[in-house]
Amino acid sequence: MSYTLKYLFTAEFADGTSYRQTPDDTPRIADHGSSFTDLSSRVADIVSFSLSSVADAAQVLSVDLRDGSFTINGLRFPAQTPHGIPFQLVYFRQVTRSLVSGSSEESIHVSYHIGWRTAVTGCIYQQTVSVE
Amino acid sequence: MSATFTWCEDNGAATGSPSHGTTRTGFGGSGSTTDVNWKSVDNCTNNSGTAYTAARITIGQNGFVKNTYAFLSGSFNTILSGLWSANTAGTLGSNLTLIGTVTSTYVAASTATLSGTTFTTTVPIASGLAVNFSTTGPEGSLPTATLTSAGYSQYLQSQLQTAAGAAAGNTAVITLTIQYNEN
Repeated sequence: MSYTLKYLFTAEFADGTSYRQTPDDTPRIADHGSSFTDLSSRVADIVSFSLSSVADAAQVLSVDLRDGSFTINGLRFPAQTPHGIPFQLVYFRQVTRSLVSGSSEESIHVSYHIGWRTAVTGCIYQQTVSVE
Repeated sequence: MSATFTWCEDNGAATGSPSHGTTRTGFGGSGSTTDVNWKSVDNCTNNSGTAYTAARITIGQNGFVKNTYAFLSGSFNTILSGLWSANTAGTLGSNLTLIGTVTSTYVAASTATLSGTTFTTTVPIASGLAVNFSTTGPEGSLPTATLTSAGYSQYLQSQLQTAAGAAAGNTAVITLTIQYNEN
């Protein structure tokens, strides 16, 4: 079974355009995959990436890939890394599915993660925030 | 929407190359199995199989190995970072041992003692066993850490082993968990 997305992403590009994930997560450009697949050819052009709650539009989580800062419901959190380094987008949903012995009971837990990954003097650093 | 997930199970004699179970429940998304009943017969209760109450494991013997796996399809870009724990909730009684392993090798209808990780007490999913994926089936010979089109986890094998002194009756309820990232 699938699950309904509680948060939808919006990617904003350097040229001022944007791309918003659809609730059914089907791609509009690629012939298969998901909405995220549509970003694959433009990942390097993304300047910010946000997650918006479907139930409450005021709940927005975003990451600025120009300086690595995070903004949570309007409050900005600067990243504690050197400036001027490229930040690569990190976005995934962590899905945990359980099955109970002796019954037909299944359960699912989903957390949504956004952030960045970068390399500094040969070491990989990754910072993400998550929401459930 | 998201990736579509189905719990699956193989049973019966080995067939094909690489080998897999003759009877496949949930394979390709056809139906779903929620039968994680360790019992003294090799079948899936949800696929016209035997209720565990009618196939009790005799004290001192092992249950049949369960060849559970996952089928993933639908809308996703990449699935990765698979983990599995045969017990994230529940504590088995004395003289009961739950063994789990992740493999691409099918175990056909066997009560032979399974080797693997002990899950008699809970193992948090973050400490679970790594799971790879294949587009051909759980038996796929070259499973990979990522999946970019419909496919399967490796076999998530488990076996309940009993020893003298085990209490008669139902065991504690055990929760099996799989975790993966998708986007």
